[in-house]
Amino acid sequence: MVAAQVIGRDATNRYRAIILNKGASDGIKPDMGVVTSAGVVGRIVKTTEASSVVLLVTDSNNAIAGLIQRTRDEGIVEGTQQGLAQLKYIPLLSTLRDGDRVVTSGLVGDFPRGLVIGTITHIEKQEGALFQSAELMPEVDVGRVEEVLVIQTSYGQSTKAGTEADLIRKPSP
Amino acid sequence: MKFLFYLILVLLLVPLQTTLLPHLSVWNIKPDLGLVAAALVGLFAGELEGLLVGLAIGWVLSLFSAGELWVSLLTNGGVGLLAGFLGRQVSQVTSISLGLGLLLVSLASGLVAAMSFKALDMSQMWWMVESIVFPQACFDGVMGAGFYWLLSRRFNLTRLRTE
Repeated sequence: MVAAQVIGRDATNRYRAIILNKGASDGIKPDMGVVTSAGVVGRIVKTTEASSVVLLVTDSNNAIAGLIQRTRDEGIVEGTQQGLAQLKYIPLLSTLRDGDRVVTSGLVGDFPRGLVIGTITHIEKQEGALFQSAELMPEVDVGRVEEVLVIQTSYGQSTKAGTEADLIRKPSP
Repeated sequence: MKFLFYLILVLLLVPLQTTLLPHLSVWNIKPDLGLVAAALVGLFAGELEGLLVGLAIGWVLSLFSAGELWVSLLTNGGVGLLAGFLGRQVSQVTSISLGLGLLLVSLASGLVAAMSFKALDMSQMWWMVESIVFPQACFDGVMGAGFYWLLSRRFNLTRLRTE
């Protein structure tokens, strides 16, 4: 993991993103997960040599594989335009309820399993729909976050974003 | 000298837009100073310089945004170019006409950016226009008019009069 400080916000109003003071020269690559001790913040989408852009978990363009901790039902966590998050594609038979905690499932992306994303505040079940969805309150207050950790290697796997050259440089076991 | 001025302008926009303006935002909306700067450069220095400076601003700001590069290049470069053309056609530019022009241009660029978003349905698009694109366009118009008013009081803006 690499510790980094938040040095700015997205240059436009259209994305919910933060800028970190660490970049490609520190080994940060696109798609790496970003967390704090409280939970998931977002994922890296762009890097320069000395900085990187993190798309926050509350941005509607972001999608992270999530899991309801109590029921073990999986879904996709996406941001909403109101600055919250929602868990989509939850199976209809899931017995989820308000207050359930959602964590990363570790199946897709560079997040290890079990990092807290948020807590369910409202469940939406529409007539005739194939799935149900739920609104989440993100665990991290992304509007006030100042320091973060960038996950360089996922649990049980090498860096996905690594190039072939990186693999060659790794010492053999 | 001019190159140095443009270089400083482009580089100064990054900390202003990413670090200072988020603290000065109103209802979480901040003006797009890159757009305002590209328009003013186009207006004062002509379409070519407007286009080049707009492209430079678009490229640099896109490094510090989650947005796509082509949207940033298209909107900022396009605004610089358009402002250069309009600056030659309009007999006298006032801060109000510039503000209105910037409002329209910012609205158009915001709509282009909103349309570049994937999987936005009609209600989400409307929400985005209503709560982000339009307030930002108003903000940009006010900022542009304010900057123009300040510059026109300080300098003799003969470039803006038709010969």
